[in-house]
Amino acid sequence: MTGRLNFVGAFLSISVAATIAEGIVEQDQIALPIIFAGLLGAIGFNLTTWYLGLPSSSSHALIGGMVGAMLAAVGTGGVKWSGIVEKVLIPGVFAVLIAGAVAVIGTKVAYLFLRNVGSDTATRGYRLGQIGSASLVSLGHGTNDAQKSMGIIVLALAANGNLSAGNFTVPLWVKIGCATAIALGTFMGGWRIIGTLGKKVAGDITPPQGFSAEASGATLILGSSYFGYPLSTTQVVSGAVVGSGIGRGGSETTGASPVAWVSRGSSPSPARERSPPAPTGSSRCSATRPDRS
Amino acid sequence: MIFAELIAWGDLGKVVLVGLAGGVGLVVTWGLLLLGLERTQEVRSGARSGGLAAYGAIALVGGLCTLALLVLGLWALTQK
Repeated sequence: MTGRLNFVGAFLSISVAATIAEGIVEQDQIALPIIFAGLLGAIGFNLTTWYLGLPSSSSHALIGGMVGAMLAAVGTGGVKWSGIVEKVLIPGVFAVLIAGAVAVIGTKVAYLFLRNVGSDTATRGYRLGQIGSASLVSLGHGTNDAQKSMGIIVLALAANGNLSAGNFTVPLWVKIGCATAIALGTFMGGWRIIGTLGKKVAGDITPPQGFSAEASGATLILGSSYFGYPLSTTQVVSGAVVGSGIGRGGSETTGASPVAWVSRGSSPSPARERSPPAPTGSSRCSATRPDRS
Repeated sequence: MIFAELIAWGDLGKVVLVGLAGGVGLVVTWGLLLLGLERTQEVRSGARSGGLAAYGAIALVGGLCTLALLVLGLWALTQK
Protein backbone atom coordinates (compact mmCIF):
# COMPACT_ATOMS: atom_id res chain seq x y z
CA MET A 1 0.00 0.00 0.00
CA THR A 2 2.85 2.37 0.83
CA GLY A 3 4.37 1.96 -2.61
CA ARG A 4 1.03 2.50 -4.29
CA LEU A 5 0.40 5.68 -2.34
CA ASN A 6 3.90 6.92 -3.19
CA PHE A 7 2.92 6.38 -6.82
CA VAL A 8 -0.37 8.26 -6.48
CA GLY A 9 1.19 11.09 -4.50
CA ALA A 10 3.62 11.80 -7.29
CA PHE A 11 0.75 12.97 -9.50
CA LEU A 12 -0.97 15.31 -7.04
CA SER A 13 1.23 18.34 -7.46
CA ILE A 14 4.22 19.55 -9.48
CA SER A 15 5.19 22.57 -7.38
CA VAL A 16 8.31 20.94 -5.98
CA ALA A 17 9.39 19.82 -9.45
CA ALA A 18 9.06 23.44 -10.58
CA THR A 19 11.32 24.57 -7.72
CA ILE A 20 13.97 22.00 -8.61
CA ALA A 21 13.81 22.73 -12.33
CA GLU A 22 13.65 26.50 -12.14
CA GLY A 23 14.41 27.66 -8.63
CA ILE A 24 17.90 26.52 -7.65
CA VAL A 25 20.16 26.82 -10.69
CA GLU A 26 20.10 28.95 -13.84
CA GLN A 27 18.35 26.90 -16.51
CA ASP A 28 20.08 28.69 -19.37
CA GLN A 29 23.53 27.82 -17.98
CA ILE A 30 22.97 24.19 -17.08
CA ALA A 31 24.34 21.37 -19.23
CA LEU A 32 23.95 17.60 -19.20
CA PRO A 33 27.47 16.86 -17.86
CA ILE A 34 26.78 19.19 -14.93
CA ILE A 35 23.55 17.40 -14.12
CA PHE A 36 25.31 14.05 -14.43
CA ALA A 37 28.06 15.17 -12.07
CA GLY A 38 25.51 16.42 -9.57
CA LEU A 39 23.65 13.12 -9.67
CA LEU A 40 26.89 11.19 -9.18
CA GLY A 41 27.60 13.20 -6.06
CA ALA A 42 24.12 12.58 -4.70
CA ILE A 43 24.27 8.85 -5.44
CA GLY A 44 27.69 8.59 -3.80
CA PHE A 45 26.34 10.23 -0.65
CA ASN A 46 23.29 7.97 -0.63
CA LEU A 47 25.37 4.81 -1.06
CA THR A 48 27.74 5.86 1.71
CA THR A 49 24.97 6.54 4.20
CA TRP A 50 23.24 3.31 3.17
CA TYR A 51 26.44 1.40 3.88
CA LEU A 52 26.75 3.05 7.28
CA GLY A 53 23.08 2.31 8.00
CA LEU A 54 22.18 5.94 8.55
CA PRO A 55 18.88 7.57 7.61
CA SER A 56 19.91 10.33 5.26
CA SER A 57 18.38 13.07 3.22
CA SER A 58 18.56 12.08 -0.40
CA SER A 59 16.71 15.30 -1.15
CA HIS A 60 19.45 17.47 0.25
CA ALA A 61 21.99 15.22 -1.42
CA LEU A 62 20.32 15.83 -4.76
CA ILE A 63 20.12 19.59 -4.32
CA GLY A 64 23.62 19.77 -2.87
CA GLY A 65 24.96 17.73 -5.76
CA MET A 66 23.39 20.04 -8.32
CA VAL A 67 24.63 23.17 -6.57
CA GLY A 68 28.13 21.77 -6.19
CA ALA A 69 28.34 20.72 -9.81
CA MET A 70 27.07 24.12 -10.93
CA LEU A 71 29.58 25.92 -8.75
CA ALA A 72 32.41 23.87 -10.20
CA ALA A 73 31.30 24.28 -13.79
CA VAL A 74 29.92 27.81 -13.92
CA GLY A 75 30.69 29.48 -10.63
CA THR A 76 28.47 31.33 -8.18
CA GLY A 77 26.56 33.02 -10.97
CA GLY A 78 24.99 29.75 -11.99
CA VAL A 79 23.25 29.19 -8.67
CA LYS A 80 20.05 30.95 -7.62
CA TRP A 81 21.07 31.71 -4.06
CA SER A 82 17.83 33.44 -3.18
CA GLY A 83 15.93 30.37 -4.28
CA ILE A 84 18.20 28.11 -2.27
CA VAL A 85 17.61 30.17 0.87
CA GLU A 86 13.91 30.82 0.37
CA LYS A 87 12.81 27.46 -0.94
CA VAL A 88 15.34 24.97 0.46
CA LEU A 89 17.33 26.11 3.51
CA ILE A 90 14.73 28.01 5.49
CA PRO A 91 11.82 25.62 4.90
CA GLY A 92 14.16 22.68 5.47
CA VAL A 93 15.01 23.89 8.96
CA PHE A 94 11.61 25.30 9.86
CA ALA A 95 9.65 22.29 8.67
CA VAL A 96 11.54 19.95 10.98
CA LEU A 97 11.04 22.23 13.98
CA ILE A 98 7.38 22.79 13.14
CA ALA A 99 6.79 19.06 12.69
CA GLY A 100 8.36 18.42 16.07
CA ALA A 101 6.33 21.13 17.78
CA VAL A 102 3.07 19.99 16.18
CA ALA A 103 3.83 16.41 17.17
CA VAL A 104 4.45 17.48 20.78
CA ILE A 105 1.04 19.19 20.90
CA GLY A 106 -0.68 16.37 19.03
CA THR A 107 0.77 13.69 21.31
CA LYS A 108 -0.26 15.56 24.45
CA VAL A 109 -3.79 15.90 23.01
CA ALA A 110 -3.82 12.20 22.13
CA TYR A 111 -2.88 11.27 25.68
CA LEU A 112 -5.60 13.59 26.99
CA PHE A 113 -8.10 11.52 25.05
CA LEU A 114 -6.36 8.36 26.29
CA ARG A 115 -7.25 9.30 29.86
CA ASN A 116 -10.94 9.37 28.98
CA VAL A 117 -11.01 6.38 26.68
CA GLY A 118 -10.25 2.82 27.80
CA SER A 119 -6.66 1.91 27.01
CA ASP A 120 -7.68 -1.11 24.95
CA THR A 121 -10.04 0.95 22.82
CA ALA A 122 -7.54 3.75 22.48
CA THR A 123 -4.70 1.43 21.54
CA ARG A 124 -6.82 -0.40 18.99
CA GLY A 125 -8.27 2.85 17.70
CA TYR A 126 -4.98 4.66 17.28
CA ARG A 127 -3.42 1.56 15.79
CA LEU A 128 -6.18 1.56 13.20
CA GLY A 129 -5.73 5.28 12.75
CA GLN A 130 -2.05 4.72 12.02
CA ILE A 131 -3.01 2.90 8.85
CA GLY A 132 -4.50 6.19 7.68
CA SER A 133 -1.76 8.43 9.05
CA ALA A 134 1.01 6.24 7.63
CA SER A 135 -0.82 6.28 4.32
CA LEU A 136 -0.80 10.07 4.44
CA VAL A 137 2.96 10.03 5.00
CA SER A 138 3.36 7.77 1.99
CA LEU A 139 1.24 10.13 -0.07
CA GLY A 140 3.28 13.09 1.15
CA HIS A 141 6.48 11.27 0.33
CA GLY A 142 5.28 10.83 -3.23
CA THR A 143 4.24 14.48 -3.60
CA ASN A 144 7.59 15.76 -2.37
CA ASP A 145 10.30 13.25 -3.18
CA ALA A 146 9.18 12.02 -6.58
CA GLN A 147 8.93 15.65 -7.64
CA LYS A 148 12.65 16.16 -7.16
CA SER A 149 13.50 13.46 -9.64
CA MET A 150 10.95 14.95 -12.03
CA GLY A 151 12.55 18.37 -11.63
CA ILE A 152 16.01 17.02 -12.42
CA ILE A 153 14.76 15.20 -15.50
CA VAL A 154 12.94 18.31 -16.71
CA LEU A 155 16.16 20.26 -16.14
CA ALA A 156 18.04 17.71 -18.23
CA LEU A 157 15.42 17.87 -20.96
CA ALA A 158 15.64 21.65 -20.98
CA ALA A 159 19.45 21.51 -21.07
CA ASN A 160 19.27 19.17 -24.04
CA GLY A 161 16.77 21.34 -25.86
CA ASN A 162 13.88 18.87 -25.64
CA LEU A 163 11.87 21.32 -23.55
CA SER A 164 11.93 25.07 -23.79
CA ALA A 165 13.55 26.71 -20.79
CA GLY A 166 11.23 29.03 -18.91
CA ASN A 167 8.10 27.19 -19.97
CA PHE A 168 7.80 24.67 -17.19
CA THR A 169 6.00 21.45 -17.93
CA VAL A 170 6.46 17.85 -16.82
CA PRO A 171 5.85 15.31 -19.59
CA LEU A 172 3.58 12.44 -18.62
CA TRP A 173 6.26 9.81 -19.21
CA VAL A 174 8.50 11.63 -16.71
CA LYS A 175 5.73 11.60 -14.11
CA ILE A 176 5.04 7.91 -14.64
CA GLY A 177 8.74 7.01 -14.58
CA CYS A 178 9.49 8.91 -11.38
CA ALA A 179 6.32 7.73 -9.67
CA THR A 180 7.19 4.14 -10.55
CA ALA A 181 10.76 4.52 -9.33
CA ILE A 182 9.76 5.90 -5.96
CA ALA A 183 7.07 3.26 -5.51
CA LEU A 184 9.49 0.47 -6.34
CA GLY A 185 12.16 1.91 -4.06
CA THR A 186 9.74 1.94 -1.15
CA PHE A 187 8.41 -1.51 -2.01
CA MET A 188 11.89 -3.00 -2.12
CA GLY A 189 12.38 -2.12 1.48
CA GLY A 190 13.28 0.80 3.67
CA TRP A 191 12.03 -1.05 6.73
CA ARG A 192 15.43 -1.25 8.39
CA ILE A 193 15.82 2.48 8.21
CA ILE A 194 12.25 2.83 9.39
CA GLY A 195 13.20 0.60 12.30
CA THR A 196 16.05 2.93 13.14
CA LEU A 197 13.72 5.92 13.17
CA GLY A 198 10.93 4.19 14.99
CA LYS A 199 12.92 2.35 17.63
CA LYS A 200 16.20 4.11 18.11
CA VAL A 201 15.03 7.69 17.92
CA ALA A 202 11.97 7.53 20.11
CA GLY A 203 12.30 4.22 21.89
CA ASP A 204 9.20 2.05 21.80
CA ILE A 205 6.66 4.20 20.10
CA THR A 206 3.04 3.75 21.15
CA PRO A 207 0.09 3.93 18.75
CA PRO A 208 -1.05 7.39 19.95
CA GLN A 209 2.49 8.68 19.49
CA GLY A 210 2.78 7.07 16.11
CA PHE A 211 -0.51 8.50 14.96
CA SER A 212 0.42 11.97 16.13
CA ALA A 213 3.90 11.82 14.61
CA GLU A 214 2.65 10.60 11.27
CA ALA A 215 -0.22 13.07 11.13
CA SER A 216 2.13 15.94 11.93
CA GLY A 217 4.81 14.84 9.52
CA ALA A 218 2.37 14.14 6.71
CA THR A 219 0.57 17.48 6.96
CA LEU A 220 3.88 19.35 7.02
CA ILE A 221 5.15 17.47 3.98
CA LEU A 222 1.91 17.90 2.05
CA GLY A 223 1.63 21.56 2.98
CA SER A 224 5.22 22.20 1.96
CA SER A 225 4.67 20.37 -1.32
CA TYR A 226 1.84 22.80 -2.06
CA PHE A 227 4.25 25.73 -1.73
CA GLY A 228 6.97 24.00 -3.71
CA TYR A 229 9.38 23.46 -0.82
CA PRO A 230 11.59 20.43 -1.48
CA LEU A 231 11.94 19.02 2.02
CA SER A 232 13.82 16.16 3.48
CA THR A 233 10.90 13.90 4.33
CA THR A 234 13.33 11.84 6.39
CA GLN A 235 14.17 14.77 8.61
CA VAL A 236 10.60 16.04 8.88
CA VAL A 237 9.29 12.65 9.95
CA SER A 238 12.27 12.21 12.29
CA GLY A 239 11.46 15.57 13.84
CA ALA A 240 7.86 14.54 14.28
CA VAL A 241 8.88 11.25 15.87
CA VAL A 242 11.19 13.04 18.31
CA GLY A 243 8.41 15.54 19.02
CA SER A 244 5.97 12.76 19.77
CA GLY A 245 8.47 11.24 22.18
CA ILE A 246 8.84 14.56 23.95
CA GLY A 247 5.08 14.96 24.00
CA ARG A 248 4.74 11.60 25.65
CA GLY A 249 7.17 12.83 28.28
CA GLY A 250 9.48 9.82 28.32
CA SER A 251 13.11 10.36 29.14
CA GLU A 252 14.05 7.63 26.70
CA THR A 253 12.95 9.82 23.83
CA THR A 254 16.16 11.03 22.30
CA GLY A 255 18.62 8.22 22.47
CA ALA A 256 21.47 7.57 20.14
CA SER A 257 20.13 8.49 16.75
CA PRO A 258 19.63 12.25 16.99
CA VAL A 259 23.41 12.48 16.64
CA ALA A 260 23.09 10.64 13.37
CA TRP A 261 20.11 12.77 12.44
CA VAL A 262 21.95 16.04 12.92
CA SER A 263 25.47 15.27 11.87
CA ARG A 264 25.09 12.24 9.60
CA GLY A 265 28.15 10.94 11.43
CA SER A 266 28.82 7.46 12.82
CA SER A 267 25.85 5.91 14.52
CA PRO A 268 26.55 5.36 18.24
CA SER A 269 24.43 2.26 18.03
CA PRO A 270 26.60 -0.87 17.83
CA ALA A 271 24.21 -2.58 15.39
CA ARG A 272 24.38 -1.54 11.78
CA GLU A 273 21.35 -2.21 9.72
CA ARG A 274 21.45 -2.73 6.01
CA SER A 275 18.81 -2.14 3.44
CA PRO A 276 19.04 -2.16 -0.34
CA PRO A 277 20.27 1.13 -1.75
CA ALA A 278 17.37 3.20 -2.91
CA PRO A 279 17.25 5.44 -5.97
CA THR A 280 17.76 9.10 -5.16
CA GLY A 281 14.70 10.69 -3.65
CA SER A 282 12.75 7.47 -3.34
CA SER A 283 13.62 5.70 -0.15
CA ARG A 284 11.83 6.79 2.97
CA CYS A 285 8.21 7.18 3.75
CA SER A 286 6.86 6.40 7.16
CA ALA A 287 8.83 6.58 10.35
CA THR A 288 6.45 4.29 12.16
CA ARG A 289 4.30 1.38 11.33
CA PRO A 290 1.26 0.25 13.27
CA ASP A 291 2.23 -1.57 16.40
CA ARG A 292 1.64 -5.22 15.69
CA SER A 293 2.40 -6.51 19.18
CA MET B 1 18.08 42.12 7.07
CA ILE B 2 18.66 40.85 3.51
CA PHE B 3 18.36 37.31 4.80
CA ALA B 4 15.02 38.12 6.40
CA GLU B 5 13.80 39.66 3.14
CA LEU B 6 14.48 36.42 1.29
CA ILE B 7 12.10 34.47 3.45
CA ALA B 8 8.49 34.21 2.38
CA TRP B 9 7.10 34.58 5.88
CA GLY B 10 3.54 34.49 4.60
CA ASP B 11 3.99 31.09 2.98
CA LEU B 12 5.91 29.73 5.97
CA GLY B 13 3.16 30.96 8.25
CA LYS B 14 0.64 29.10 6.13
CA VAL B 15 2.72 25.94 6.43
CA VAL B 16 2.61 26.34 10.23
CA LEU B 17 -1.16 26.77 10.12
CA VAL B 18 -1.56 23.76 7.86
CA GLY B 19 0.61 21.71 10.20
CA LEU B 20 -1.39 22.71 13.25
CA ALA B 21 -4.78 22.35 11.58
CA GLY B 22 -3.89 19.07 9.96
CA GLY B 23 -1.60 17.48 12.50
CA VAL B 24 -3.36 18.46 15.71
CA GLY B 25 -6.75 18.60 14.00
CA LEU B 26 -6.54 14.98 12.93
CA VAL B 27 -5.55 13.90 16.44
CA VAL B 28 -8.53 15.80 17.88
CA THR B 29 -11.12 14.53 15.40
CA TRP B 30 -9.89 10.95 15.62
CA GLY B 31 -9.84 11.22 19.39
CA LEU B 32 -13.46 12.43 19.35
CA LEU B 33 -14.40 9.45 17.22
CA LEU B 34 -12.75 7.04 19.65
CA LEU B 35 -14.27 8.80 22.65
CA GLY B 36 -17.75 8.69 21.16
CA LEU B 37 -17.43 5.01 20.27
CA GLU B 38 -16.11 4.12 23.73
CA ARG B 39 -18.90 5.99 25.52
CA THR B 40 -21.53 4.49 23.22
CA GLN B 41 -20.22 1.02 24.03
CA GLU B 42 -20.27 1.77 27.76
CA VAL B 43 -23.87 3.02 27.65
CA ARG B 44 -24.94 -0.07 25.72
CA SER B 45 -23.25 -2.39 28.22
CA GLY B 46 -24.78 -0.52 31.14
CA ALA B 47 -21.47 0.61 32.55
CA ARG B 48 -22.41 4.23 32.03
CA SER B 49 -25.63 6.17 31.98
CA GLY B 50 -26.24 8.89 29.50
CA GLY B 51 -27.54 9.69 26.09
CA LEU B 52 -26.64 7.03 23.57
CA ALA B 53 -27.56 9.40 20.76
CA ALA B 54 -25.32 12.15 22.12
CA TYR B 55 -22.29 9.90 22.33
CA GLY B 56 -23.08 8.52 18.92
CA ALA B 57 -23.23 12.04 17.58
CA ILE B 58 -19.79 12.77 19.03
CA ALA B 59 -18.39 9.73 17.25
CA LEU B 60 -20.13 10.72 14.02
CA VAL B 61 -18.88 14.29 14.19
CA GLY B 62 -15.37 13.05 14.89
CA GLY B 63 -15.45 10.67 11.96
CA LEU B 64 -16.92 13.18 9.54
CA CYS B 65 -14.47 15.88 10.56
CA THR B 66 -11.57 13.47 10.06
CA LEU B 67 -12.80 12.69 6.57
CA ALA B 68 -13.41 16.36 5.84
CA LEU B 69 -9.89 17.34 6.87
CA LEU B 70 -8.42 14.67 4.62
CA VAL B 71 -10.60 15.42 1.62
CA LEU B 72 -10.21 19.20 1.87
CA GLY B 73 -6.47 18.95 2.31
CA LEU B 74 -5.95 16.68 -0.66
CA TRP B 75 -8.32 18.71 -2.80
CA ALA B 76 -6.41 21.91 -1.96
CA LEU B 77 -3.15 20.23 -2.89
CA THR B 78 -4.39 19.40 -6.37
CA GLN B 79 -5.52 22.95 -7.05
CA LYS B 80 -2.03 24.35 -7.53
